[in-house]
Amino acid sequence: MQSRDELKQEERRFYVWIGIAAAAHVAVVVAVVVFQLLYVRMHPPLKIVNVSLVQMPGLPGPAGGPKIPEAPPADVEGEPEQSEPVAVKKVSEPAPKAEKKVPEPAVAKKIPEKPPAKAPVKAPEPAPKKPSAVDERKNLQAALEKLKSKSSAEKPETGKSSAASNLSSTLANLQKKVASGGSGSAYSGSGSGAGGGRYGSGGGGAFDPYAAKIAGIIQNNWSFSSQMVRSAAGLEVYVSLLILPDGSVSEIRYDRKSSSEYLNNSVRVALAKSTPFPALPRDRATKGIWIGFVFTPEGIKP
Amino acid sequence: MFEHAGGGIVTLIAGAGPVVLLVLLVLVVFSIISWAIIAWKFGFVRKSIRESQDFLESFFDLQNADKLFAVSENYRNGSLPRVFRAGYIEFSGIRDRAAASNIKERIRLSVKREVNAESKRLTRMVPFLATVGNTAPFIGLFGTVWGIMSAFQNIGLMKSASLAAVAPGISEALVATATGLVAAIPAVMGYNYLTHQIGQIERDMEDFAPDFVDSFFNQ
Repeated sequence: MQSRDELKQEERRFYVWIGIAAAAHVAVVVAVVVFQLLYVRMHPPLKIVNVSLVQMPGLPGPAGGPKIPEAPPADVEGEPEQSEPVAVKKVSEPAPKAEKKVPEPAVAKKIPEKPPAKAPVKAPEPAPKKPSAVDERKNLQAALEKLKSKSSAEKPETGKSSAASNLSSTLANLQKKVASGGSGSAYSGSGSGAGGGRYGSGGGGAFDPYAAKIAGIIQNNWSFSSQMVRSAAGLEVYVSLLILPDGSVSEIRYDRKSSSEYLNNSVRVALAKSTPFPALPRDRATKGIWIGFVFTPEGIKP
Repeated sequence: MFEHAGGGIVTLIAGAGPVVLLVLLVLVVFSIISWAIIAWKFGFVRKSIRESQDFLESFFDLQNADKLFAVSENYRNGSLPRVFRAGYIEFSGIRDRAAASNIKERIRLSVKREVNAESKRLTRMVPFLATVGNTAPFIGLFGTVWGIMSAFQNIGLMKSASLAAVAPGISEALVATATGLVAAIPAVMGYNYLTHQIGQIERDMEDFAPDFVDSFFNQ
């Protein structure tokens, strides 16, 4: 039988072991903490960069490419007269080609397929100098002026002479309409001018410089990347705007929304950013006009 | 210091609620006691087995009970020497009285008592290991469930179900389950080892107890 001394001795041994176990636990915890600290020091944390895929720092619109950096003011002011002729040249260069192509229906059909590939159009330009935003605006204004004068002379095909990149899709669409006999697309309506058909320029197929201008403004404010949608096929948003004479929009009507909520939202944001528009031309400043746009992953079609 | 180690154990414990902390404390105490029992009993059992083997060698060599008793004094921690000593003490007390009846039966009873006492001594505190092995995972699970409940409450207060809002609470809660497993696994392993070794010693005692009784009368 165990004596009391033996029991006490065993208990004492057990308490010693408890102390050793507690010390071992503390040592293990300290070792784990130290190991973690060493691990963190040996593997410094990676910097986290939040990237918004929706609002990319590139050009708005389907291309989503890097935004062309604005030229410093000195460059713009230093050679304004030198750049202008270049811009005029750029604008006027494609004009004769377009005039030649319009009568040929086969070529005219091919033209709408070109807008997605904007880069190849720009590449063969003789002046590789990067156009600044100011130059681009000047080009746009010059093109619009030219288009106005030519449209008044009932030559809608000259509207396609604009070389502004953000109008290329618009012009291609116009060419298509002209080639198809001016009857307008299925959705463009058969009315004349801006009254009957909101989408397209109406029965005569006359180019509306104001609509093109607004399309350009919306295009500039439109942040959309076609890479964010699974399939671009069938994605179209039909929007009609009632623009008052002062350029404010009194009504926005979504005639058809796309299945992509991303596209719908991007259109809504683009319209919100773009309004108010420039005032209507004096000759059309009556009650206000309805203008329709079709937003597709390829671009805006008036 | 530990901010970066987002999943660091200190950060996780620091962010845990009071119930989870209490569970962790209980589990750590369980783990400490378990390891102490394992270490204590491991040495105890090893010494008992070694001394029993040494005593058995002497038992087969020497046929004299008086000499065996003298040898057994050197093996104070061995189970078999202790059983032999108990029988010898009983035998030496009876043999002086020639009229004592049922001497062999009384020695057998004495040896049996010692075997039982030795079994108790060997198995003392060992069931605690089984208790820890069985209950520690559940205690840890309780802490985890409680922590997840708190985490979901916080998520509701934050009005956000994002991963950033959900993950830390669940991560903190899971520390309790991990600690429960850390306490339970060694306890189960130690319990299995000790019960196996103690079972062997007990079988040896039961086997050699009749031989010890006979040795007192055959000398």
